Amino acid sequence: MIDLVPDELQAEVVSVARRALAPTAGLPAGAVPDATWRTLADVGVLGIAAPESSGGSGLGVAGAALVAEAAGAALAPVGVLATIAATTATDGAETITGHARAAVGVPRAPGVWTAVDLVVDGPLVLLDAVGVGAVVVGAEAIRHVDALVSLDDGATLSAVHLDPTRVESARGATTSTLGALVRLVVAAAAVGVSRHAIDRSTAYASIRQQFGKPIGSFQAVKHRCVDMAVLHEAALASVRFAAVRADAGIRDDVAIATAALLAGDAARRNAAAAIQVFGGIGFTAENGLQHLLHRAWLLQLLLGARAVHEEALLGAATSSGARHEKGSST
Amino acid sequence: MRFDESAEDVAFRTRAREWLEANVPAVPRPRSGPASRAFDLDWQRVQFEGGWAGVSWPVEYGGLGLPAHLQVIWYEEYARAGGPDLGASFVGLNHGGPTLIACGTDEQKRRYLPAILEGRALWCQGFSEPDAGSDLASLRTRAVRDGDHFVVNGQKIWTSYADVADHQELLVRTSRGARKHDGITWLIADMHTPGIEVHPILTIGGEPHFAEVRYDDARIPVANVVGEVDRGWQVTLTTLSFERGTAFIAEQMRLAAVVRDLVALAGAVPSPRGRGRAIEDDAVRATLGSLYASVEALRAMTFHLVSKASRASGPVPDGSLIRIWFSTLAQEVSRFAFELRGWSSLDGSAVATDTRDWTHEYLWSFQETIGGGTLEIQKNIVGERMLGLPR
Repeated sequence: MIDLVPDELQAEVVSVARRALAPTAGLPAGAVPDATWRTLADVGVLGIAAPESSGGSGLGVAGAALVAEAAGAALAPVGVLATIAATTATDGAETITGHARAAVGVPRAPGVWTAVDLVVDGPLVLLDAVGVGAVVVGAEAIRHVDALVSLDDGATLSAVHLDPTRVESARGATTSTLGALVRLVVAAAAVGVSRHAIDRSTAYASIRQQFGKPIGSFQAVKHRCVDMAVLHEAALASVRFAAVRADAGIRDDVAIATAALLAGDAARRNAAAAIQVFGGIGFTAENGLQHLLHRAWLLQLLLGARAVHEEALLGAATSSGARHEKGSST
Repeated sequence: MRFDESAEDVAFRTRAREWLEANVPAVPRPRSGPASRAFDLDWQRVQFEGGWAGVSWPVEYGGLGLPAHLQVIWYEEYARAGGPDLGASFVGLNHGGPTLIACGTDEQKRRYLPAILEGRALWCQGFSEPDAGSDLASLRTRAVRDGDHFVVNGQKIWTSYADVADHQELLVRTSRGARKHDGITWLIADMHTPGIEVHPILTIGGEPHFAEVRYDDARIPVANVVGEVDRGWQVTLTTLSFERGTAFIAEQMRLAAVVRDLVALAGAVPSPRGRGRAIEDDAVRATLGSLYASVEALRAMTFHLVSKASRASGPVPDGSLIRIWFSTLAQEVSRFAFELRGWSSLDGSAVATDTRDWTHEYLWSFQETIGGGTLEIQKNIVGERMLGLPR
């Protein structure tokens, strides 16, 4: 059977993670104090998906996705997501113990990657432009870094020039397991951003009064909030479904593409919708919804272009026989 | 949050698959009329005799008494094998029957439940009235006690399958309470009762799918009250709690098959830009990929609902959330097919060569956001019961 609701252990892990992540809200990974970062390691956030044999919590992609939902909702650093993925790679010990902070990168130009939350001496999780491959390279692969100016001030952006021979040798170890994990934690974080947008919108719509009534009692506002919730549910369920399938050892590129596409949509569209629900105050810098919007776009860009996911899905739909057989094993 | 399938689950799936492959009717289900009634009853009887009726219904009423996740597996395999739309059987199997299981007397259960599973009786729903649609609790069809009977007068409308059904779940007003939700009673009406008249109504798709039902001094035995007199509203809410969302699986898989056919259609019709086939057009590809993601998401949402409902003691409003996603998606899929086919959509002679009657699917899809509670009402339910927004 498929169970998409957290069990008691998973729920407890999430609640511990939420407390540990709260002080990191709005900070890039590199700006988080050492003691705070080590707490993330100590309570098991960073090693959530790493096997117990290497000092991790052994809670798999499902555990990682649940913690990443909490991280996304808290606007915790993207580097936390990258580090959760890096801890599952063979040389993950440094990251599990909180001594190294990993960054995530996507192809920018030949030999150059756009990296989020790059920290000196930290490893780099590199995503493929298409498909679900990913590799981890150490800081020694870095030749040169150009700092960029990040719109999302809770993240740093850089253009990283990497030693092609080191990237090539790491490619020998390209795994779809790591690729699935990193995409699903990023997608789960996007679901968290969407949750944050809905929670703030519904809370505000319940107290803000106009025409003598809370604006959330008007269907124009209420139904906008519901549209947010419906898209959110589609994204959340898709990410969790893909996560438990990954833990069961099923390589399901359709589930991952679905999760990536819907989670990116949910984060971006719900962050935008929140600004409208808030009205005038939503457009102010002080209210802070721009941070949600920036983070939503950042996560969606990490997840890859819509067209990539759509093509992957279309490919599956046209080879329906094989996919159908695989899907029916649920 | 996990995924595993036990040896028993796998064995159940294998048996279901083999049986369905051998027994799913080869001919399509007639859309309406006496032929549809014969088809629905026959197919239900075949399933019962094969030992597959009522997977999660209690054993004492002919069901298999199995857990919800096996019901999910059954629906997955049912859709995979191309099992026909449940048609009029849907109402008895997924609404009337479950209501009796939850609220009926022993006598009512013995009398009506086996007949549903064995393919001997079809049900219809008598809820909506001309002045009580979305505002269902305003219903005015009156029932006055006269000895051992209630005498019913009034009118129901949009009653699907009324022309083929044997029994009706009939909501009537038995008193004027302080609130309009009080004073409603849930009755089992025999559709052949003198004084009940059925007047079929044609849908925009051209078939007599639903009807207006008139009650003129129709006498319904008091023994047919389900739950308590004046507390029928509570009975309808109980039914919701029985609905565990498992039926969505079949809907999801059927829609997934429609999307695959839509992709095939795009490979057969010319591109809207006039170069090559539609499937070669980037905008068409983007739409198809996006629709496929949405239908995959629907499956995950259904598993999430089943996971939640299996833990909950009371009703979960999440079904409305999925209805909103499903109904709008189903409309988008058939609308896109209609658009891709261009003039063929308006040309009745083109239908015979297609795998599906796309034009009819498009017209039919309009009921998805109306029947069983409009899209707007579903949004109110989600907004108020799930998001806690003020009424």
